[in-house]
Amino acid sequence: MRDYKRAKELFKETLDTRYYFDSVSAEVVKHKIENAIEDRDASLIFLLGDPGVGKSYILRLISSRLEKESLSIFIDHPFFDKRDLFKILFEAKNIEFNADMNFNGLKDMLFDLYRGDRHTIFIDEAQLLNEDQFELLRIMSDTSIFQFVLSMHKEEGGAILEKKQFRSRAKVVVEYAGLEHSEVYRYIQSTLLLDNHGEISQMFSLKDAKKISKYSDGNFRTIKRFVYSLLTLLEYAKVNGIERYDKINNCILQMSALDIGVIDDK
Amino acid sequence: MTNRTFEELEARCKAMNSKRYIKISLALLVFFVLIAFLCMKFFYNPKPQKINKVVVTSNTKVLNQDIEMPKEVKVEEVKRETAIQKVVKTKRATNQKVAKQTVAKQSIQKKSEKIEKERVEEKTDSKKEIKREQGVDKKSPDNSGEVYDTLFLKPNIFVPRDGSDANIKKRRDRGSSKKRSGAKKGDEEIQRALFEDERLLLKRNRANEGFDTTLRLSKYYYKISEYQKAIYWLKKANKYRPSSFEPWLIYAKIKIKQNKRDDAIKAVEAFLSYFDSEDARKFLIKIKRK
Repeated sequence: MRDYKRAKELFKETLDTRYYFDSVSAEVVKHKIENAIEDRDASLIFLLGDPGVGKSYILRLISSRLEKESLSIFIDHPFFDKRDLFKILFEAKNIEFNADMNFNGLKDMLFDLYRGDRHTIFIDEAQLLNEDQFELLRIMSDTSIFQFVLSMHKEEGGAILEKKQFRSRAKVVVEYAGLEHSEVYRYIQSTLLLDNHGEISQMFSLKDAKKISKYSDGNFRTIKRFVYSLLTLLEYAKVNGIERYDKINNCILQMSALDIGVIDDK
Repeated sequence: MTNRTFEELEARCKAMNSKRYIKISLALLVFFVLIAFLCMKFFYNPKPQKINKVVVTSNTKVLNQDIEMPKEVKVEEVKRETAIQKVVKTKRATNQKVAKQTVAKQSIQKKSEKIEKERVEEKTDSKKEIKREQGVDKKSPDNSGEVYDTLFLKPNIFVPRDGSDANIKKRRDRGSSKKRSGAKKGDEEIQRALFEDERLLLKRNRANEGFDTTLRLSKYYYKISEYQKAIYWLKKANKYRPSSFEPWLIYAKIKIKQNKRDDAIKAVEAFLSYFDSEDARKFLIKIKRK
């Protein structure tokens, strides 16, 4: 029995770290970041990659594993004011944030609060930070109390790294590439089999996975959207008795690609 | 997913595929046409054939020449005859031509053999004459101061008593071989014989050009006093055998005939500066004597 409706839910956009797919690139990135975090000299770690490759997922995964050992704070959006970062840090220690205090006073108080141990702060979409915020991060990282792991888009990240405050500093830069063609097949199979969709997983061949990978260019997010759309179309065909789409063929793959907009027929 | 969305996607997919197939088939078509064109160009390249047109008029007979008929006659002939009859006629005409040509060739061959024999006789005669004339005074009989060369291979040149150029030319044109044979022939026949001699020599030269053929041509033209042509062939002969004195000798004789003794002496001296030749030295001594 092919339950397309339930199967496609597995490919929805989610940051649930239970469904971590250990692709080669993901494992390499995870390993590098974990080593850099353990290394006391690296106070700034940059994770660069195209949108949708899985940077946020990896950051969350590492952050959740680190929480057990030491303080790890994950900020999924860049703070809009310098004080916002201080507020998050104070609240992480369950201390009330005094908004009336001046900036330097807050800073000194914060450093005293966190002194003695190393703390890792994960900031996602760091390419949205402005100059002042980057300067603050630099000052905080120089104290060796705080270690920052910043994920940003590859293009913008490259330009930020060229800035003078980061160029001269010791830092770790990790690049996150997309999935390989063979990994797409393994990902689809493993994800479907996780939820006992064996019959649906058998519909996918290596050739189909290669086509999906070609359409999505190895981007994780796009692959998920593609498979989600594909299962939606198969579900519709099954419900309406359209027998020619009883199995995966070139036409239905193209229809999925057109649906999510990775190809254009104009 | 709605029905409309599904159908719309399906239609777009089919349209996309059909476009792609059309593009692929067009590309393949262009490719095969190109290949076919290239193959035709390189492998099938017939050479244009020359067609000998036959003169239709019955009175004139032309051997082996491309001549166009007058336009009016052509049009009438085309109207009267069918294509097949034309082909048959042209074939017959070509066969006749070929037969006539073979007959003409045979006659030319016979004549050339005769000429060869006479030439050999002439040479032996000329050698005897040279030996006879070595002790003779080189001055002209009328003591005009002009010297006629007695070292020529063809000792047929003589000064008539009345001194008219026309008679000199006539006697020269007759040719030594004809005079020696003693047979009286008309001017027309002599001209034809000379013409055939020239044709034969040119033909032989064309077949296998070399020192001998070019030298023979130069001697022929020297005999008939065509000095420009003789010099032309002498230059060719000299190219084939630069070390031979014979072309230079004939050249010097021509210059002497043209009253350019100094040019003749310069030519021989130039030859001696390149090559050492006993004959050249002897000849130079002779022509320097006055």
